[in-house]
Amino acid sequence: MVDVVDLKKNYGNFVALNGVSFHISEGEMYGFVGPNGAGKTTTMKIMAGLLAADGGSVEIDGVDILRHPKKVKQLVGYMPDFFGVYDNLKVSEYMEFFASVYGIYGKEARKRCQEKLDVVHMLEKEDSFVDVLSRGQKQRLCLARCLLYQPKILVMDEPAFGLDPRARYEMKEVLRELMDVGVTMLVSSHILSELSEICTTVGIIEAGKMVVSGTLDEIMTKVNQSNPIVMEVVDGLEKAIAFLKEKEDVETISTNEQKVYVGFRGSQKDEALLLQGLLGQGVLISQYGRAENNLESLFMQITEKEE
Amino acid sequence: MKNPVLSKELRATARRPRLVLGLFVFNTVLAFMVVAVFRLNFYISASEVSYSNVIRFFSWIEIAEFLLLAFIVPSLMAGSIAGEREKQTLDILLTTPMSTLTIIVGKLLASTGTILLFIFSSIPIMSVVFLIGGVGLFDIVLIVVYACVFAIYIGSIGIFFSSIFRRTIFATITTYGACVFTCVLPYVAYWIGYWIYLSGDDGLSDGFQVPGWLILLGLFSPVDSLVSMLSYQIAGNTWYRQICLLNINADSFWQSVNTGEWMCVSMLLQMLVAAVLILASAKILEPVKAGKKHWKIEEKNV
Repeated sequence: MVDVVDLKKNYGNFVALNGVSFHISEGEMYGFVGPNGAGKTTTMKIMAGLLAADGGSVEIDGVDILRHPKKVKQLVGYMPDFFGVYDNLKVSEYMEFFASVYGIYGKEARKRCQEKLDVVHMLEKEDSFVDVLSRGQKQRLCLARCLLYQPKILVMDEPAFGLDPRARYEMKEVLRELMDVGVTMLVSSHILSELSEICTTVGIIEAGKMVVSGTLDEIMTKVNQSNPIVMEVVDGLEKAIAFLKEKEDVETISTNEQKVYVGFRGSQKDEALLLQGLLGQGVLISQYGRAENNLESLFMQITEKEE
Repeated sequence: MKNPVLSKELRATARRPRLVLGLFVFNTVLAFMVVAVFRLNFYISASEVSYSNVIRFFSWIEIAEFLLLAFIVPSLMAGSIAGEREKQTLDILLTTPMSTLTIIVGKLLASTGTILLFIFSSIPIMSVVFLIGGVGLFDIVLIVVYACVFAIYIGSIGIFFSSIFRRTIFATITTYGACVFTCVLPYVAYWIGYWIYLSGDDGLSDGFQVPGWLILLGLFSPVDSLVSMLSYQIAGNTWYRQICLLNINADSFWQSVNTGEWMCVSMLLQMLVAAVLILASAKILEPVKAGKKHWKIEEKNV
């Protein structure tokens, strides 16, 4: 559905994107995470046809949008992080204006606008002026505008940025509903936990490079592999330490009362064999496993490694 | 041809209290000017009407209207694109299938429509001359055509700078500057040439002749178009003819040119310049220019 391959972009001497690649399948919600200035907005602007890339390719539904920039406008619905609305226009007029931009007029436009406003729970606001809407309502209005012409992919840059908890929740609900009806989406945020609840796949970008990409479980497993094994030794601590010191895969050993932290570079099978060996030595263990990251520490760990 | 930007702009502009206030101020100032000019022209005796005074009176109204438009048009146009950038609505427009040319033309036509509203709203004031007679419907039509050409010409300059600059304030300042430059440049050049001639000569002006290129440059000046129009409308008035670049110290070839035809050529040329500026603005506004740079890099990689 969407294939971004080796995307590059420089602003003078500053390298904004240094070979970003990722794939989004149809109906998937792809979470694009990274700290501020990592290259999320640049990638999205290129995908929306607002910026020219310096290299690489972006294919959406088989169309190379960098070579055919005009075609992108029918394929992508873009919602920027910051955007304004026109004063002196009502919600319905704002929607009908954009409908006319896509060649939809009259009754058909009115019907389509009402449908899309209903999708984002904004139908009751159709007679309000757009400049008096709250930020959350403006975000949803912008989303409804993107849905007017049924684009192949919705590209949303920080859709929950600056929203209060309630508006954030409402936005998440709307995105979930869109995912349920099979809309393909690329959603960016600098907060991983915000996306982890709704996205099927996540890509973490840092300093213009894609650091890791995959489902959240895959990423967690991949990163957890580098965490130490934590075990709680009930009896036989000295025997356990002596045994661990003999193992080649063991890099570090540290203890804290009954807890032992083992820097171990083996696979999951090796971890199981290590446990078997310890038990064979007569060591009594009540807890055993890799230390787990929460989402925020995972994000910090990944982005720090790159630095 | 439907232009979504034009419809949207007209609707939004019509709701702005600023428009009503602008119309009120425009017509009030114009009305005061009309009363003042009326008093100046007919102060001797109300029972005697000189028709040459009537047409001169009408020409003063035209000049007053031109001055007011020259003040309004740049401020209307300079913010058209830069304002969209500042409001952060431009990116959204640029991601739609609408071409940049449609956006530019929509903006320009909307502003021209606003100018027409100003012109039409002033017709009752201008119609004071109908009380006396001597001015025909054609003269009114000519003013409307001139105002449209002026709005599109200066408007296109405004749009051009609005496309270049990110801030409305810079676009407005440069548009006013360019407007003054375009309007008075041929006259300033003439007076500088004349002054140099006088300072180097025995002080007699009869030998000084305006070079042909300067007369041709006048074709791009809305002031020269206005003077040509007034000279054409008031055939008996020598004053406008004298200040028209065609006639001030020009040789017999230029003096034989009909000021009506000169005015038409001038307006056509100004429309041509406007078309070029509109196309250039549309090109500037295009976010991704047909992937030229990208292609080059791809070819290098191959």
